Amino acid sequence: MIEPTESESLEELDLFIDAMRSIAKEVEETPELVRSAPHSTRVSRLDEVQAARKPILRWKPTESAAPIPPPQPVPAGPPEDQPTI
Amino acid sequence: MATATETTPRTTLGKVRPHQTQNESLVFEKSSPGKRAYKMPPLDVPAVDPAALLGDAHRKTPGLLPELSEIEIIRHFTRLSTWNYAIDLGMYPLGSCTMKYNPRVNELVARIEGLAEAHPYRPDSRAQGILEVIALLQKCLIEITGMDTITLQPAAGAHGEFTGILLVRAWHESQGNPRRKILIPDSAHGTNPATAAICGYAVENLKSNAEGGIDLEALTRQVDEETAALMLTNPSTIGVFESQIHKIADILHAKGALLYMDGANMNALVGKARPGDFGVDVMHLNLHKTFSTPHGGGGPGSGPVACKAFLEPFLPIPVLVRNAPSAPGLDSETWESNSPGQLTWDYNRPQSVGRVRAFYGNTGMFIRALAYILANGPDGLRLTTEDAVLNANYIRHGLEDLYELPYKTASMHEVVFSDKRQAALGVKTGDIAKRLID
Repeated sequence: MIEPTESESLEELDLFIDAMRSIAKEVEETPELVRSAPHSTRVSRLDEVQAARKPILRWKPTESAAPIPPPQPVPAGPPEDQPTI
Repeated sequence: MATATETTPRTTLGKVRPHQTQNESLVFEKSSPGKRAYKMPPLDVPAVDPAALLGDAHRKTPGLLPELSEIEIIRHFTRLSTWNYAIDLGMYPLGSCTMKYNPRVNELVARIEGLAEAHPYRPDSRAQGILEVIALLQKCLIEITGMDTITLQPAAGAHGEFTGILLVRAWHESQGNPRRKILIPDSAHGTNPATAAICGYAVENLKSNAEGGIDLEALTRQVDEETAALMLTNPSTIGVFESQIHKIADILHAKGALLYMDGANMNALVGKARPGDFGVDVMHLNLHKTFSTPHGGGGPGSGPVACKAFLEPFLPIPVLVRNAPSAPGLDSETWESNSPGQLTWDYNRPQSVGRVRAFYGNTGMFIRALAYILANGPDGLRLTTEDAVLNANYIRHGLEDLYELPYKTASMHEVVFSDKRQAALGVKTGDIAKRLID
């Protein structure tokens, strides 16, 4: 599904078509290059299902990375009241 | 076939490059004790004991907050922002979900002090400026959709669907039977069946024909006296305009059912065709798609619902009305309402489905959408629609010899390819999308 909208210039559309055409060529010649993309990013294939189902949203201090001590549990409140990040 | 690639010389447009290292630790990991990005002024009021004031609510330990200097914070978030891919960085061709440029004039207008600082609890008489903005936007959207009336309250597309189907249900109830089911084509947005279900309707799937449109025979078979409405996206998610829309509306209306249109793809119709003219009874718009207000993380969204006059009594409260010119004059002391010609909110609507959003929706988006409409004008909006459709078809023409086109019908705002040829070589759509990142 490709929806460029009216915002894109002829040059930008040509760049996109160019990219898609070169990918189609790669699929014919070096399919593994496409199957293992992206190559220019620090991380490549993330486990998207796991990221959606079990997201890690809270940073927990470790000894090496904790310049400030973690807060002690507040006795008055239930666990939900603890500060979260 | 000559393609754009072979005939057009490459330009100097550079490709998007992310931040060089992409190795940025969390603010908590960068933190070191005592660093500050601010300095509090000396206390110039009497000190109080928060523990005595707050009792049990007073926390015993300080919150775990990172400590950084201002430049560290600026660098951290600036670096992170360079990892994003956004419309401000490059083309964002997300099909089915118009992601257009957000013109800067919208932001300029939305930041005008009297509009940006307007308080929703101001008396109507002192909020006439923003109420005029809302009234003018309503007028423009009614004209664009060809409907009779509108509510701007819903805060998103799916929220608009929900509001629209509430109107459908309230109208059927007023006719004596809320009815049982809603028909939804298999090409619909996933939010359509969710909306029908949450409004208490059974969802019945409607099969598409080979061209990706509604199968009229199947529709005639499936519509009965228990059908409340058909929820139709036109043009559909595969970019095909439902050319038999008049017949679809007639089949529904003959059985007392209504036609709901998901306006997600209005970007292909503005200034060219009006849903109100082709049989639609109620529809929603997405200001964050068609009318260039920020989409996604830049939100919030806005999903106005436009409808025909017979659904007007059921609109969410309050409804914006203009006092009759014969009403008593403006009170010179309080400036309170009831002055002739002033805009005010009408809450006295016994058949209303009730309120669906606090205040009157995401007002900041109304200002941006109106700025977009006025900046373009009728001819500009029409040209925008033509360019959107032309651009989609230009891409179709440039790629159709290499990628499979599952539907041969002319494309509207978007073009759909399948990975049929590439899948034979073990490469799927997702892989191609990942390679596009490079």
